[in-house]
Amino acid sequence: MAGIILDGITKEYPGGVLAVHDFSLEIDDKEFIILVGPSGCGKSTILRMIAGIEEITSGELYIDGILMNNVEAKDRDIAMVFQNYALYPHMSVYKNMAFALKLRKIPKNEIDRRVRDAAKVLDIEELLERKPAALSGGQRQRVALGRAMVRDPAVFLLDEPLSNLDAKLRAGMRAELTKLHQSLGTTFVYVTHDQTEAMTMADRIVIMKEGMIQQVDAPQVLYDKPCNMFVAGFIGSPQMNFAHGVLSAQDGIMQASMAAGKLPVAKLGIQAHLGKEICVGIRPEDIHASAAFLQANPARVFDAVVELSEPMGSEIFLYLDCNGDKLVARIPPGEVYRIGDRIKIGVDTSKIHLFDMETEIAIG
Amino acid sequence: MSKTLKTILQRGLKSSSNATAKGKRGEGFAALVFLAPSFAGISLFFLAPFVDTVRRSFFDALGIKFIGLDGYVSVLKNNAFRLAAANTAKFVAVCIPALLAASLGIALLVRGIRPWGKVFKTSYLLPMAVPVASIVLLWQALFHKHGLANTVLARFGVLPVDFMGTSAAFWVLIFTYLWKNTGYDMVLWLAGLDGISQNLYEAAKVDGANAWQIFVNITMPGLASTTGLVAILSLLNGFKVFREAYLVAGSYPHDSIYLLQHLFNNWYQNLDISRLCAAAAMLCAVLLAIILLVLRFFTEEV
Ligand SMILES: Nc1ncnc2c1ncn2[C@@H]1O[C@H](COP(=O)(O)OP(=O)(O)O)[C@@H](O)[C@H]1O
Ligand SMILES: [Mg+2]
Repeated sequence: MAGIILDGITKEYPGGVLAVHDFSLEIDDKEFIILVGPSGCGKSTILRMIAGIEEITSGELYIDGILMNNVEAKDRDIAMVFQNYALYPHMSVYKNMAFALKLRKIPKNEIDRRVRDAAKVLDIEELLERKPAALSGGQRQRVALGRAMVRDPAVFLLDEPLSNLDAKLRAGMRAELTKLHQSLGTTFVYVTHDQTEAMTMADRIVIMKEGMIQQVDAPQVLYDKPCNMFVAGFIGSPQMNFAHGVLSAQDGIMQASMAAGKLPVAKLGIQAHLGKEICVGIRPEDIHASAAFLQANPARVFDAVVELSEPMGSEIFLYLDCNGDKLVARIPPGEVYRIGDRIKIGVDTSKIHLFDMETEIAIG
Repeated sequence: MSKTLKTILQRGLKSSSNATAKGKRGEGFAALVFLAPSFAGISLFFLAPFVDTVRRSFFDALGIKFIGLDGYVSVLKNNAFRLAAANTAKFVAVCIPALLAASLGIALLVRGIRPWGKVFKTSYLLPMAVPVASIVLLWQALFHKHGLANTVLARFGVLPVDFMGTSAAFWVLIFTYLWKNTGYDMVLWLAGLDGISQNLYEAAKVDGANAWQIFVNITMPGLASTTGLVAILSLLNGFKVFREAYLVAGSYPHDSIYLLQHLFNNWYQNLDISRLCAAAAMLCAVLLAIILLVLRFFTEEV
């Protein structure tokens, strides 16, 4: 049970690779925090520094209020699930799970109780005598989790634990991990490059890019109020649409003029950008094609040509060309669209995002 | 046996054979074609003479009159054989564990000091490249009664040791063997160490293991099949140390280093063919048994 404080942490690998730069974050006790970002942005490096298997170049790391920079991994009371699981190949599942406890000289019957309890929770009781080589990917993943669980550690570190599983298994494991976190009541620091995992499981998400924090917030806040174009584009699937435009004023109303057309924007604090180039961000679900919406909002209607229609069953993804602006819309099923169809779409302007073209930072 | 041998070969040659190990069925024939020349060579120069050796061990010196097990009985009763067999066994029992431990220790050190590792690797391999004749000269200079080693010892007030004329000769021989083979074994260990995933060490660290516990629980089990391979190669290399022993001390060295090879050499010169063949067959059987045991013990499937 412990909070973690990372204070201005920087990691430079030999050879000059700056993997993490001035990373500051306070992780609360029992929080489920997820570091997310594209491959190579330094997520694993941060996890490894918390675990103590990678040296911290500068900055300070505190766990439960104690400075950890010079504490060895074995003395940190942390459990880690590795991306490739790193199960000890010559040990049975039981011995893999018991290993850490044996090193701590915990009595045999206590070890046995903990291993069997964890095995029960993870549904791997029949696998205890097997060697890792005789397990499937999903089973190995459970054993790796079990090996961490039995230790009852202060902090649980997980490095892309689901990335080696197939899609169906992954979806199931997401729910199980959430349950596990709740029942263990331990701090979870979880790394992934998959925004869906981050959105579905995290209390708070840390979005990273090139070794730096972009934004730290609860999933919904991150989705509704991305601080810059990188975050806006990273969270959400299909991705947010970006269209190039200029901010102008007409009859006292602010407008964003794009190739597709003009959109009234009623946002505070955007006057400073008047006449400047901006980027307009529209989430696919904020584009509508229903007659009711078009009638109610005649000022926000564009002409569009259907480039591709992907019916998903519960919804349709429409890939549209609006006079050169490429937009993706996510609309309810019902209508059938064919390539080349000319249609009208409307935009819910109360939900649009504006970004400074140069800095890519959100405005308004 | 062929199965275990196959596993060990596959593991030993993991890096080079990855592509071929996954071969399809049609490649089996191609493999045979490529293997045929070296198999023919081995048959001609090793297998056929060996079969003849076994046959001769049951016949008289001329290879005509059948004498049954007489040759074997006479070998086992022979004092020289007993001395040589005991010495050889003692030599192997001392030098193999010592060599395995020393070369593994150095391999671990060489890995530890990354930037300088290469320099050390090369310097430990050098003894292999030195021809036996030069080594012998060096040894004579070093271990002669009035040699370098004694000069140094004298500096520290130690009385001169007659290295080659007393039982110290045994230890000189052990030293020679270690000096010569450590580098080679170290390279084998390094290859074995490369086969252990870095992640396992990290997982063990996070699990709370100290350096010694990591060595015992991760490194050693990870090196099991390498250990088998290194042990067998070291055993076979152990028999090559005769060259040094013979060239330094001749056909009849001090009792402590009178090895089976000395005996074989002398019997050969005396044309004592049936005893020679019987002893050779027995040695071969013992070696084969040891190799099979080692393989069985160290290649337990993971
Ligand atoms: N041992 C290392 N030596 C040098 N550079 C490394 C090492 N490990 C990672 N890096 C580099 O550091 C950066 C971040 O790596 P990593 O933390 O593994 O990213 P992520 O887990 O987000 O994919 C990458 O550019 C990677 O190439
Ligand atoms: Mg990673």
